[in-house]
Amino acid sequence: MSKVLDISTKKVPILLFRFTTPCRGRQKQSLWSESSHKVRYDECLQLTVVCGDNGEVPAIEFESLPHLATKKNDIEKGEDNKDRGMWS
Amino acid sequence: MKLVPEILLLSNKEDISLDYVSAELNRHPYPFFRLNCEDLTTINCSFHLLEKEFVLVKGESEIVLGSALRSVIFRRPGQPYISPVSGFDEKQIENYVSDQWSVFINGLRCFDDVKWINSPEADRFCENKILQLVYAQELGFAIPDTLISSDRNCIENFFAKQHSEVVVKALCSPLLELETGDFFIFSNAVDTLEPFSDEEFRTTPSIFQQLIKDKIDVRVTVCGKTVFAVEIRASIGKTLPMDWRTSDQDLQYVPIELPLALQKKCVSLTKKFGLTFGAIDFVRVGETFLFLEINPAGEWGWLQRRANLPIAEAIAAEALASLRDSQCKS
Repeated sequence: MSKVLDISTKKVPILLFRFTTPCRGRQKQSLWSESSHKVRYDECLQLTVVCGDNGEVPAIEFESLPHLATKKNDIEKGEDNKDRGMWS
Repeated sequence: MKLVPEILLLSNKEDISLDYVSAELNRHPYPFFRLNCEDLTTINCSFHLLEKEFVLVKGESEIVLGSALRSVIFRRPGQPYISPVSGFDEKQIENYVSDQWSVFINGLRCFDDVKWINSPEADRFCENKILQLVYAQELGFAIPDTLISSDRNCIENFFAKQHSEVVVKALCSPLLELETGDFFIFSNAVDTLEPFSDEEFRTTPSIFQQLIKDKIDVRVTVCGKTVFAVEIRASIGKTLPMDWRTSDQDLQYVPIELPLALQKKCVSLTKKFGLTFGAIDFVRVGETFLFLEINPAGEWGWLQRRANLPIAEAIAAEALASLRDSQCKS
């Protein structure tokens, strides 16, 4: 992954800013926006479902969404920051 | 339709890990409700003091959170969303709205005998990496040699002691939301301090830790007294980067059995922080497991399917256990 130079310490004197990597931030873009499948939150089942060839199935059972299986997706969303002290 | 949940899930719609818990709870007869907090501004919500009830009206449904409530699974509640308001600073409006809802949701702490997995206070308490390291040390975990500092002299001494093989990490919240985009700070190995100015060191403290070579990364997930552990391995013929999360290769997650004494320490550490759930990162060198950190809201959905670990079942079991405890008392 490439380092980002435009926020390097030349502008901001913070050591760890030298090691930043772009990620997908919170709320900026839906997790599903890159999916070619129709996805919706099912209020009855209280989970996300995907419209596949054989009807709707829970997203957690849908094999064609490989990003669901990797922790990296978590980072791409920037969600590793947990709830940030309940939005503070 | 009126629903009186015994179990409440506080999260967001896109939390796939929690989808596994919803799926598991759907297999049980007990009423539960998942409140995706980013939707709060689209729901009519009230707290009735006399009845001591939170009432949420959502379409045709009325959800009553009151004395029947026994468990709350609290995990990454979505930030309430409103559209930008013309003429106002977006961030200030967002902060005001979030603050009001934060107090409202935290009001759910008014109910006695409700088990929180985990409570917001415990999560926040556990986010402090200095406390994590101190508690882990007190419990007898092996820990890489560590310095947390903004003092260049101390850092240089530590660097010399480690023969210039050091990892540098953020002390908290390594997500930056800037106008130019969002950025994450992974753990990084450094072998020289020369490029860094004194000011860079002094601006914030950072974690400096002994670089562990020839390691195997281990993720331990604790839920109550249940402990799941996996080793994170590279594909055959490949090696992992220092921070395995940056790897673009297909990783393997191999369930392992931790030594019993280490399992007990992991459970003790989560208890020490008042947590029911905790995700703990270790690196293994030979037979030694070195503690790195504990994450109270750690991701685990990637393990449920890939490593076939019943973590959702364990979380649901913890929530359901408080229902049974309540039935025994009455």
